[in-house]
Amino acid sequence: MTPAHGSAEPVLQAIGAGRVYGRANAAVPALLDVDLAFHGGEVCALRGRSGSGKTTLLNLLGLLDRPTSGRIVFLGKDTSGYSDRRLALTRRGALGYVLQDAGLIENMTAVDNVCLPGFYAGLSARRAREIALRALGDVGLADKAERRVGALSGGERMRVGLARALSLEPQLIIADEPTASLDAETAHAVIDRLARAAAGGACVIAASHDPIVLERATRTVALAHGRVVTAEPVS
Amino acid sequence: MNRLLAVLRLAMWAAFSKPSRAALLIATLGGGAAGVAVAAGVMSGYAREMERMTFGAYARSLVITENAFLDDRFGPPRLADIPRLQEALGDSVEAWAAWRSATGDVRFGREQANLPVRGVLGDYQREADMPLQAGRALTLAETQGADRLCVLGAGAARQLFRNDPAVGEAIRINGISCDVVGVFAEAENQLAERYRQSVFAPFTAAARYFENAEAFGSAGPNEVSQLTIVLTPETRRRAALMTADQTLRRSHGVPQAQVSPFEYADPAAPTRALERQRDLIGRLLITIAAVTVAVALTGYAAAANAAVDMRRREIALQMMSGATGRLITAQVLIEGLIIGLAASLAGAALVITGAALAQTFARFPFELNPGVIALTFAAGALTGLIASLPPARRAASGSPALSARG
Repeated sequence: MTPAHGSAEPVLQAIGAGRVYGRANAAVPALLDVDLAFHGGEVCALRGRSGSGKTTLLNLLGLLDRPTSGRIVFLGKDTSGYSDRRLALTRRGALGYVLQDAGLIENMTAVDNVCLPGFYAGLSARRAREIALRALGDVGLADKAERRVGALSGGERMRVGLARALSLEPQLIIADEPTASLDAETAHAVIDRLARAAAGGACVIAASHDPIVLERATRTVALAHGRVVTAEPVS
Repeated sequence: MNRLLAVLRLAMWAAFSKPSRAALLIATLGGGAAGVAVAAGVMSGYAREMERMTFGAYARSLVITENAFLDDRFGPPRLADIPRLQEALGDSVEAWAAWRSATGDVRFGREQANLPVRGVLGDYQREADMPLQAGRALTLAETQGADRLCVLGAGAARQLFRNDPAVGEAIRINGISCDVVGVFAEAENQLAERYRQSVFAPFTAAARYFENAEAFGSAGPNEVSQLTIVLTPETRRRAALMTADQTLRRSHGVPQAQVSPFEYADPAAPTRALERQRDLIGRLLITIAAVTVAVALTGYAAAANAAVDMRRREIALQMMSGATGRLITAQVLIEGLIIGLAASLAGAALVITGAALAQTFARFPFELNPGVIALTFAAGALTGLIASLPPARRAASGSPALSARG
């Protein structure tokens, strides 16, 4: 597999990765035999119909779940046999997630939500807050840092989620439909920020059908029935 | 360290992020804490009451008086009985005191009161266990003499002198002048309360000068109205009582076949009755406290489990951000601890208010002291912590993949 953009060593690899839910007669294969490699600097768009396995693949690539077959290699290390604890330790600071609904903790302020990765990475409260405020400033929400996220608009919430994902400058950013519920202007702002992270060396993997995302992607991967059907660089 | 502080901060946030949920959990645990506070407070109140009734050496005393229900041809105990009892009881005697009592017309200036006048001999102050407010007590030598000196109980001093100093003044008892050398402080126990209104004078001086034979009969100068023998702590009271009775019978010529003309009061009897009452109520209260704690424990565990279920995505998002199962477990346990402490505060406040009301309307043996408060808080915190174990395990077993499901 040859990198389309960025560094030669892949940040992340899926090698024959598969995921089956349930057991025996009730087993449901959600993902089958996926071979993919992702490099720093690239923006990869995952496409596929509903039920094609995009979210399952994102969970495996984001080290939130383990494959039932095959391997996931992150920064050269096979994570398939990792315990839950080791997976959590690996995620700390190295991965950022942008979720479709922003995935924020209600009742918390914007800055406290953005502080979470810093807290778990072992930063002091003061340092985590400094970084969070900078990240919020970066997405234009410095003045709303102390607001509870429940009081923010959909676009603002998504930008808080983006700030959380990017606050510790992770090497891998997983985004699940990052622009699905946004107006065009906010969607452009979000994908711009993701592209800027990729330009800084991060690898961005985004599941999306949004043309705004697709036009900024350096590569697209299409999934159907749990299998990769095409994986090609965007010309 | 930073991570632990972060978990502490998140636990604090999570514990109170939903005020209605926090209130429900606090109420659930508060019931258990209140149960423990009631049990501990009442037990402590009983202990205090018993302490008040025990008053040190007096509880170990043989208090000998004349048996008022019998023909008095044998008479009351006499001063001459004291050395005989000392000899018979040997090393069992720690101290002794002899008392005689009468009522006197006591005056100072224009103030007048009919007060008990007590003639004392021996170690009377140890028995009464009263601290001094002013001046000094009668010395042993003075109690053995016949000087016209006296010490006033706090109530007697107030009646005669209001708030003016009494020491150095001379009062008149049944018309005889007597110098005040000291004033006892307010009573700290039940026995001392008995002496609050009294005037204390040397035994012989009381018999010789201050008693009005016309009004109060003619007790002989050597007759005592009460003889107190303080026994050493290791002495068996029953055996000492038998020895004392045999000695007094011999001394007064009372045959063994006849009912004793002397009474032996047991000052510790009310304490023992209270002890039995306390033990019974204690068992009942401990049972009630255990049931309330068990109910609080299961109630909190169920409510916290439900709360964890409602927070599954929130926990998954924390795991996505790098929280390990251990950190999530620690967070939920600390939440339980915080809620437990808040519940202790609520439970203790409830019980203190209830006890204050109960004490206003009825005599209620409840005492709040640092030990009771510490026990209430320990019970609340421990209940919160233990009840949080199942929800903590449940929370830690969640999958971070749930974060992707909106």
